[in-house]
This record gives sequence, structure tokens and C-alpha cells, in this order.
Amino acid sequence: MGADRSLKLLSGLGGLALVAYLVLWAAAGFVPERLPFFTPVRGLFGLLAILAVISALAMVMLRNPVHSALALVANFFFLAIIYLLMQQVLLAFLQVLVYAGAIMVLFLFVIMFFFQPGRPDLGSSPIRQQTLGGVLFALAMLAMAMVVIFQGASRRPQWLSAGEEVRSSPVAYLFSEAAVPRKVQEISLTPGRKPELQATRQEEEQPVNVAKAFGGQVRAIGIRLYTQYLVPFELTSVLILIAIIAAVVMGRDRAKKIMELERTRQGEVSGE
Amino acid sequence: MTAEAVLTVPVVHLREWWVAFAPGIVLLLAVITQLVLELTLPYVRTNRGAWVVPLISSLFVLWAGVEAVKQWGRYPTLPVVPERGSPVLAADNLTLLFVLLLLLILLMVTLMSHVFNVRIRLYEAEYYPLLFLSVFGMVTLAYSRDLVVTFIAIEMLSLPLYVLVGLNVDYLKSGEAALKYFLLGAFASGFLVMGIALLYGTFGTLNYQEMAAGTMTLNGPAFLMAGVALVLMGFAFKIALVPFHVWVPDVYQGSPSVVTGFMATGVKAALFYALISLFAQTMADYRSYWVLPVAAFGALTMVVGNLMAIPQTSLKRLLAYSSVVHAGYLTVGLVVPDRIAWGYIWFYLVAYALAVLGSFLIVSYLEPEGKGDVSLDDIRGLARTNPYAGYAMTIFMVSLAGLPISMGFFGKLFLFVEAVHAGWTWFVVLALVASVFSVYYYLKVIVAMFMDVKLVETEAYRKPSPSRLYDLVYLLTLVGTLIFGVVPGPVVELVREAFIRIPL
Amino acid sequence: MTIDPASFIPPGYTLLLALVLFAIGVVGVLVRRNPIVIFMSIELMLNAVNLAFLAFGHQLMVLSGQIYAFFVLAVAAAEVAIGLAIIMAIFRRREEVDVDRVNLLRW
Repeated sequence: MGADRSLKLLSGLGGLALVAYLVLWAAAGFVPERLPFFTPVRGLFGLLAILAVISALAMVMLRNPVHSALALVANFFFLAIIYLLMQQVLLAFLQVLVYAGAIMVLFLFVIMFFFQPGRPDLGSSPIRQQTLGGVLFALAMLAMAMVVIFQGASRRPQWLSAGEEVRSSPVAYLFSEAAVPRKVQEISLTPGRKPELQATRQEEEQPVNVAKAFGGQVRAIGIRLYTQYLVPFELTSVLILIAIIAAVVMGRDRAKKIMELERTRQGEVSGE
Repeated sequence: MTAEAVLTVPVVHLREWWVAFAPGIVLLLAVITQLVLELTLPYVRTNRGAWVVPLISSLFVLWAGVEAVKQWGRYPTLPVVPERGSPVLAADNLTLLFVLLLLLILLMVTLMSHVFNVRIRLYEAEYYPLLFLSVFGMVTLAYSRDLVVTFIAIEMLSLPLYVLVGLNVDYLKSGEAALKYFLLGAFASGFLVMGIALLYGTFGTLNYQEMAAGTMTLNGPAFLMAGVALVLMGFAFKIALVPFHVWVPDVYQGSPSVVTGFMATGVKAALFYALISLFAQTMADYRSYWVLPVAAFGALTMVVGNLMAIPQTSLKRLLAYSSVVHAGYLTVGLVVPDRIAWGYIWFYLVAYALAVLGSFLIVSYLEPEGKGDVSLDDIRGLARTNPYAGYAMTIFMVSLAGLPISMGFFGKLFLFVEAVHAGWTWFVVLALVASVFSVYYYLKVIVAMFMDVKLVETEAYRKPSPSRLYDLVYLLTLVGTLIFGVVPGPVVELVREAFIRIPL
Repeated sequence: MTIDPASFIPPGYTLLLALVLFAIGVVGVLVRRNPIVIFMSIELMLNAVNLAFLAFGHQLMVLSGQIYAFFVLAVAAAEVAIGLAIIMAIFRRREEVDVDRVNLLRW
């Protein structure tokens, strides 16, 4: 990757980050209280989010597939740390173990198999006719995302009690603490009380004390997987059986068989 | 918090699985049997013994059918204790009708595959297991009452298909068809699962019953709108609605003809039932969010599909576009807020499945070796050289066009009448105009078979039929199309009976 | 560990990040020709979905977000096994993949 290209890339990304920040800021009506982003956790989150976006863009834009794969691995790590910030512990570790550890190794293995250095690199350049369309499509999707988030936020959520007013700004509650269900918020805001995390509906009977220990969360998820979510869990095992059989069929070297078939056919033709 | 307290959630025992989900379990047993047979008996892998596995497998399919019939009117659910949680798997009578249709399709495809596999002489031991696992996914999809299970089931039915598409050695581009189908399929499931995530953010749950009972507790209606749009895009890809149909002609042409027939019928049947149970039943309260998009998809599909079908010269591509158009007609039934209309979707799908499987049976039998496709030139004068295939093909084309004295006619009639009653006149008028136009290209096939004279004849055009199993499928499709095309009464009664008592 | 509001990440931000990553993945699928890079873009999309699930799980303070993300992860792993097998089969059969054929939007 040339230096000028990377420079362009980085400056473009910086500009993008600035624009995104300004959009957020404008949506908050330029009132600092509405955009309380700069607690340590959120600052870290913001940094990781920018890094994740940059690595994702690099994955799409880099010409060499190996570099793309490495950028994706970096992206997975940033996301894993974000999961940790959100206290989604199990998934943070699974993310690293499964995606970065297993899936991307497979990817790199296949890339190394077929894209040897020196060989003209196939398919590295983007499809020109589609580039504009693709970018437009993505911008449309982003616009939709903005509408979803800001529109969704302007609707008064039903669990807010009558006295509470959603703030007038369109970023009203999704970007603030109000987005936590009230029940949980009360509990978590009361000092000195053990933060018990309430669950909804059928989970309500069995509150999960996430804070007790990290192991507790893993354990709670494990128990759920074997009881409440047993059906999808078992079906996943069938899915993996399918993946094994399918990979065996596709992985088998059929070239010899096809050549044999061709030979018998030609023999038949000449025999006739 | 001890583990014991959490374990009060009922553990699902094997017996309960069997009571609630017997047809699916029988299909899994069939898969295990097939794998063991292929491993232990070398005889079944020779051309002479190739009939063993399909025959034993079809017995399993019949067994699964019997188990499905046994569940009729009993509304089994899993987990079985209703007050402890909403069902994840459940079956009402409409589900069972669709399961029976899927099993019928599987039975015919299994019987058809035998000859095909022998003819191309490249027998893959995993062919039947993959086929059955795909249908297992479809049956699971029909039973599913939870969006997670729906997602996993859609993957279970797609993953084997990606591989089956690539098995066609007659056609050089088969691997590329598989790659294209796979990449676009994975892309579409990305959209689907993002939509599911947004629905989770809307309802706070993914269970159908809880979604129907609950309110939009979270995050407001825009999330619901975006979630519905993304889920619809995922579904539209799988059932090939315009503009997500671009993969259809290439993939249908590139895959083995028998597999194409299976894809065109089974996948559509399963996913249309999933659409019914997710949108028409569960999200009935939010009709305004999905009805117009579905109708727009349907209208666009009918118009564009017909226009694209007219210039086709390959029979497989023509049937591919025809299947696109039929998906458009089926959306007419989806927008009607009446259970009986969903029953007529089933009726239409039966007619469609019989006609399409019949035509692909003939295609797979006629296609010249090493080509993997039949063009309109190839079937010239077929009615004279091989009247057996020629007249059968004519009947199937008539049924697909929806002309009288065929099951397809009644399928369209019932569906459209229901839609007019529900006030969807513009949609029905559009569908009628589209079907009148579609007669043109079906007629083109018939004209080619009857009017022209065949220049070069191959052996296959003379032989009446290569195998008894083939004849059986011929018989099933032909008799079904003709008999229910004259007396549709019994099937309609079945549909009506399905709705006498509705749970939930 | 206490859940004080300062360490709570409002789901709006996470969701915005998820949708941005999803859109980048979509662009990658549409713009690139290399089947492996297209496939990696799809993986990025699935990761964005996981992030969205976790954002809602975080918002609701329930574990089901993680459980659903777990299923998405399992499905993604199965998909990767099959997809890479298909790509390998094609590469092996013809040494080089005909890139224009993989142009997904070709009519």
C-alpha cells in the first residue's frame, strides 16, 4: 500500500469522524448535558468505536486480501473490548476465541493457499461501475439508521412513568441514561444497594446477579442454554452436522472423478 | 442465586421432543440411516445398487408423513408446559399441511434423484443426507415459533443447498453458481439477522407468542419499521422476489435439474409458511408496517418477472423466471387478513409444486449429456417423438399458466377471489393481467413441442421412461394436477377443516 | 462492580456504531470482487448484528442478548466452514477464479 494512499485514507477517515461527531453534536442541540460522552468508560468506548470503524474501512479498501484479513482481526479485537465495556463478558471472550482465533485463521489459511506472492493478484481492484452504487446504497442505509435512531428516540417509551418527560431533543433518550429501563436505573442509582439486574418477562422470576462474579454470568448463560434455549441449542448441533457433511463434500477432490467421467464419455462417443 | 433455582425451568425430555416434533426427528433418523448405509454397504454406491438408499429413504418420508398426520388437531408444543414459557416449536393444522407438502416434495425429489445420480455417474454418498437435512430445516422452519429458531432453520435449509447446487458436473459453471448462491445467500441472511436484532430491540423478545401479546415496549415504531424492512429483504431473497431475484436464473440453470426442482418448490413452500406465521399471524397488529411493502414486492415481481421470462430460450431459465412470477402471485394471499387465504396459499403451492417438479423431472430426463440444460430448440417436436413426455409437459405448462382443467387454475381462482373479498382489487387485477401475459411463454413451450419438427434425435427422446421410480413420480404429479384440476373439492375441504379450531 | 450511570453506554451510540459497521460491510460486498474479501465483509456484517444484539441486551439488562449473539456466532462459524470449502473447490478446479463471474449483480 502506497504512502500517499494511506495518507489519503487516514485523512478521509479523520474527516469522517469529525463529521459524525458534528452530526451527533447538532442532533443534541449543542447542549453539553445532552451529550454526556466524556466519562472514562464512554471516552474509551468512543476511541474504540473510531478504531473499529477505521479498521472496518481498511478491511474493505486494502488491496491485499491478507491485509484485509488482518484489519478484520483488529476490528474483532476492538469489538471484543467494547463488549467488555458493556459487561457482556462471555461474548467478549467468544468473540476473540471463535472469530479471531478460529474463523480468521481459516480465512488466512485459504488466502495463503491461493494468493501466492508474485502471482497477479486476482480480484483486488474494486468493481468500478458498482462503487458509486455501493457507496450510495450504504449512505442510504446510514440515513435510514439515523432516522431509526433519532425517530425512535422521539417516541415516548411506554415504561416511563407519567410524570417523566422525554427531553425535547430528538436524541432524547437513546443517548442518555433514560435508555435503561427505569426499574434497573432506580436500583443501580441507589447508593449502597446491591445492583441486582432485573430481567424481563419469564426471566423476571430469576434475577441474575451479574455483578456477583464474572463467572456467574457465564454460568447463568450456560444454564439458560440447556433449559430455556435448549431447542435452538440442539438445532445448532444439527446445523454443525450439516456444516461438517457439506465441507467434506466440497473439500473432496473431485477433479479425478470428473476427468474419469470425461474419459468414459469420450470413449462412448468414439465407440459409437 | 443457586443453580437449582434456575433449573426450575423445565428440561425438555426426549419423549417430549418426540411428541412435539416427530416428523423432524424421523427425518434425522433417516439421515443417520443413510450415512450408515453408505458407509457400510459398498453395494449401494454402485449403479446397480443405487436404488436401495432412495427406496429406504422414501419409507422414512412416509413414516414422517404418518407422524405428521397423527398430530392433526392436537396442536403439539415444545416446551410442553404452557404456563412455564411460550412455545418454541408448535404446530397447528396449517403447519401440518405445509409439513405434509414438504414431505411430498421430498418424496418425489428422492425418487427422481435415483435415476439422475445413476445417469451422471458421479454418485456422491452425501447427496441424500444433505437433501434430507435441508428438508429437516424446512420442517423446523414450519414448526418454529421463535425468531432465533426461524433464523437457524433458514440456515439449516440453505447450507445444504449451497453444496447441492455445486454438484452438477454436467455444467461447467456449477461451482460458480454455488459460489454466487452462497455469497448472496450469506449476504441476505446478514440482512435478515440484522432485522431480527432490530425486532429484538423493539419487542424485547423474539418469541412469536410474546411478540404478539406484548407491546412495543422499547425504542419506538421506527425500529419496528426498519426491522420489518430488513427481515423482508432477507425473505425476499430466499423466495426470489424482485429486485432480489438476480441470482435465480444463473443458479437455477447451474444446478442439477433435480436440485433445481427441489429449490423452486421446497424453499418457496417453507419460506411462505414462515412469512405467514411471522407476519400474517404474529404481527397481525402491525399490519400497516408490512402489508404495503409486501404488496409492492409482489406487484414488482409479477411485472418484472414476466418481462424477463418472455425472451428466454433455455427451458431451465424460463422455469426459473416462472418461479419468480409465481412467488409474486403468492404474495396476493399473504396480504389478505384471513386464515382461509393462507390455506389457499397452501393449495396454490401444492399445484405449483406438482407442476414444477413434473417439468423438472422431464428436463432432467431430456437434458443432453454434458450440457445440463434443455433449450426450447431441444424439445422441438417432442410431442411426436416422445408423446409421453410431450403431453405431460403440456399439462404442467397449462397448470403453471393457470388455465382451466388443471390444479393451477383453481389455485389462482381461490386465492384471487379471497383477495377481492378483502378489498385488494388493484392487486388482483394486476395479477390477472400478469397471468394473461404469462400464458404467452408457456404457450411457446407447448407450440415448440407440437408444431415444429425435431431435427436431431437422441436416444433419450425415444425411450418412454428410464425407471419405475421415475414413472411413479410422473404418475403422482400428473394425476394430482389433473384430478384436483377437475375436482378440487377434497383438498379445499382439507383446508377448511384445518381452521375449524385454532389455538392461541 | 457497580452499574453507575457513568459506565453505562447508552444504546444509541452502540447501535449507531453497529449500523455504521453494517453499512461498511454492505459496501464491501457490493464493491469488491475477490470472493474472500466479499466473504469477510459478510462476517463484518454479522459482527455488527452481534453488537446490536448486545446493545439491546445491555439496555434491557438481560442475558438473552448475549444468548442470541451466541447463536449468530455459531451460525457464522458453520457458514464459514461451507463458504471456504466452496471457494477452495472452485480455486482448485480451475486454479484461478474467473473474477468477473463473481460479479454478483451481473444480470
